[in-house]
Amino acid sequence: MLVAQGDHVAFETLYDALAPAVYGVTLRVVQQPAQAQEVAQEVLLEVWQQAPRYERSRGSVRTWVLTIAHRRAVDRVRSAQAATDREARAAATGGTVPHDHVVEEVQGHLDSEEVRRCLQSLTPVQRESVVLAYYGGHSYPEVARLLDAPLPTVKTRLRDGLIRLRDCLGVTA
Amino acid sequence: VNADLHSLSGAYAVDALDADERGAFEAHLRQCETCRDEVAELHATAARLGDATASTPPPQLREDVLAQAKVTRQDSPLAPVTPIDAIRSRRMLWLAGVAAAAVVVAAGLGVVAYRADQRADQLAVADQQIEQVLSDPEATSQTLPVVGGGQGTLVVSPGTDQGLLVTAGLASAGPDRTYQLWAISKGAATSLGLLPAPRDGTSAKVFVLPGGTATFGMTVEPAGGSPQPTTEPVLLADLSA
Repeated sequence: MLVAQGDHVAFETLYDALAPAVYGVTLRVVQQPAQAQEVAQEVLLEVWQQAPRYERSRGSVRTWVLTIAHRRAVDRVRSAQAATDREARAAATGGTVPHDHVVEEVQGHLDSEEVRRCLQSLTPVQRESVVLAYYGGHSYPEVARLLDAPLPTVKTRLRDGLIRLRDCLGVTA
Repeated sequence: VNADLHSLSGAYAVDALDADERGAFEAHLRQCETCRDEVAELHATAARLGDATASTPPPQLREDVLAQAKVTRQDSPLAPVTPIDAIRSRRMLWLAGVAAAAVVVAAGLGVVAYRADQRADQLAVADQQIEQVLSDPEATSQTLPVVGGGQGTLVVSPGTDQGLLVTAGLASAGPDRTYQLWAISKGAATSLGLLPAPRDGTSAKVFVLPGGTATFGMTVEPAGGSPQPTTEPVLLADLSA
């Protein structure tokens, strides 16, 4: 990766290829555009800084970058202030987050027909767990609460749901 | 416990663990190659979910990111990111600093760069001896496998007549056993002391290295150590070069 050698032109190319996905992830998880932009900026700068440490053996550049993006977006929504805001919003809408809507809304907006179809091939609990955790940025105990399901069930469904998605999408690392 | 930890791979891949569990799982990942493979695939799967929700960012983002990149230095390629995170989560900050430094040394940059940076600032217990050894510009290092698993990085500082051993992935010496370090010259072994019991495979020990030591060795001895080695060395390093 040329970016790893400090090549700014290469970094522009990488930006153009990956920024929409990075911003898409942070926007989906963080929800507020201004904050999503902030997080996306941190992520892309981190990619620049850490590019020399990227190891091909651990996966594609796209996976590496989107893994950072998701982690940072989740860090943001779990920070104390954000958690308070979230609770306030939940309280304002009657105490619980309408998770069915989250799941439907997310699926309605996905660009990829293949991802939509593969999500559809999961069991409802697998699908809801994966969507709430990945797109909603919820921790698995939060997912368990939202779905009113036992913790170990959610843990297991997240794993077997992702494995099923992996197989359906033909993903290799 | 391992089976239980293993089932966290899905939650880990979508960042659904809290900080403590994340740390515990990452420590587990270091020991478990199949888990690493699985996580790599699940991260790749999660990335597909991310791709599917792409959204055109505001043009300002591009300007800001590219401008900032121009004035931001890139990190050194050699610092081990993942093991450090895992060790950190076990609150072994000082060892993390040492391990990072030692790996930089071991990577053969030619210069012993003690990358103290922010990490060392956080070190409540910065070990002066370790710092001395690592900051000796004449210091040399070698990384060798340990019989029974893991590896040891030996740093020798001619300027201070001291040596430092840092281990990674080292198994416990066993019940009532300890790792003991030796300087060996002309067939005679001199004890350099006992290695503190590894935590998460990591341990470190600074010792005074007698001049003219030909070989450095590590053996497993009964708790408390032995006056002379009683078992075959699990690590030997040639210092004569």
